[in-house]
Amino acid sequence: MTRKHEILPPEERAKLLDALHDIRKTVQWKPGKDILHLKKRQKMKHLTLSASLLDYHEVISALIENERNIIYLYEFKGTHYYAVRGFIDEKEWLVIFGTSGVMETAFPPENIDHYLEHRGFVPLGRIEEVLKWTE
Amino acid sequence: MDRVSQELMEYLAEAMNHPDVSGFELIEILDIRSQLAAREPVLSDDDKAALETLDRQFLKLADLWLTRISEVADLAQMRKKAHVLPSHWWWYLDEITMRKREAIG
Repeated sequence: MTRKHEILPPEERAKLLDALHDIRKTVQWKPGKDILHLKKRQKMKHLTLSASLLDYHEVISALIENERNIIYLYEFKGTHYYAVRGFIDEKEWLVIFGTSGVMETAFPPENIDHYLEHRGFVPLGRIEEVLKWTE
Repeated sequence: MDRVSQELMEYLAEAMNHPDVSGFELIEILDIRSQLAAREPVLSDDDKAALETLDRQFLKLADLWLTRISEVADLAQMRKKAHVLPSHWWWYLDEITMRKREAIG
């Protein structure tokens, strides 16, 4: 049976760990995308209308910092993306980011299980397990 | 309209106003549209008309949505993975856009 860490070759495991460390240090977006995503979260009532970018980043950081949360791998045309799912105030969120730790999005899908399963996200384990890959 | 359908409609309507986010989010909206399709038999004529308005709005944005989604996913593969019904046209943005381009010449 393939062990979870064997899904990724060593160099890709290192990239994932780098991305995790980067996003835990700073939440970074592609230029101009942070405000667009915040506005959408407010309008979709995922965050309050008074929520700031800092509040949004706090949600993202809390999800990434919680090492019990599960991390997934998604591959498209050779590019790897990572997704972390976890709860904030009884709402389950999904944070998706790329190999350099740059944010793709963070939102609470209506049906997160359906979303992850049908898009081809592969579970890698809890963040705490993934962080131990270096040991 | 029942509460769930109303929430899905509102979700869809609001999402239409924010096409310039990650393709990962737009794919979820295709799921939402599919959920609404399953509820169409219980929608009133007015609800169906409102949904058609959203669909027209969606079609106008087809190119932009396809661009965003294509950055992170292959729609043809997604359709296969999700066993999408042929009647769920919103999952065929690639083909719709291609036909549109061919028609324009």
